Amino acid sequence: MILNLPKQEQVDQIAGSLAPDVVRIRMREGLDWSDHDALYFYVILSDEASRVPRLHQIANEVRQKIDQELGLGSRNFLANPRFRSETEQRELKEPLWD
Amino acid sequence: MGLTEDLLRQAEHLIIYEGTKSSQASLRRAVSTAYYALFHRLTEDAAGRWPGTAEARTSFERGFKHGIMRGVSLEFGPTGWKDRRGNRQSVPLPLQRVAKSFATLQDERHSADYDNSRSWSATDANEILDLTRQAFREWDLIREDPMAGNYLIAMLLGK
Repeated sequence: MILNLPKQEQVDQIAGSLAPDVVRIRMREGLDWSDHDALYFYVILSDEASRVPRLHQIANEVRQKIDQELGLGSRNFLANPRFRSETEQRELKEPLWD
Repeated sequence: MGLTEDLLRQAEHLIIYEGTKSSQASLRRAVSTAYYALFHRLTEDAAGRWPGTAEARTSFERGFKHGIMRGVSLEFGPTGWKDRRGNRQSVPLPLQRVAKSFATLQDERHSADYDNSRSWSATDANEILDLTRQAFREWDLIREDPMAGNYLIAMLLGK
């Protein structure tokens, strides 16, 4: 269990600051491959922002904000964002991302 | 062109060769291949610092264990790395980024290879490929720094 978890409201603020490229971010606590605690951020991007090279720029901004604004950069566990576009999520329909 | 660059190109090919509807199999293989590109980039670099035959260097590379590499990579962060004597040494920013990317890519590779409940998108795979390319560029910047050598040794020995 991760102590001092960020709040979803803080995550929503990051998403809002990167709108309209970032549509929403859902934070989920989980285990990494080695069964250590990890945080995963499911990031829905606009279709426009999910195209290369714009994708790379916005993904870096998301990573930076997660590390700096949520204070996760210096924590000893994985905090990984994962990305998909609005259209991809409409097709894949996974609740984790909604 | 070396193996690691070939692996990066192969990962890219796997993402795009089926057009806009990439299969889950191709996306999973792309993610796994991207991780192994960085894995081999680092372990080949470590082995290349030792004299010996190609065969001996290959044996050296096989000494790296994924789990140990994960733990050490998470230690090379902004708060500094603690050496064997307990002294905290600052980690240059490009090395922090390589180490963090390595841990991230390793986790995603495991998910791609073993978690059949997860669906992959081209967006996710493209972003992972770019993270790998960035790690290559950062490694080229920092690989001569003594802390980069410490990182490689720590990943081999666990400390």
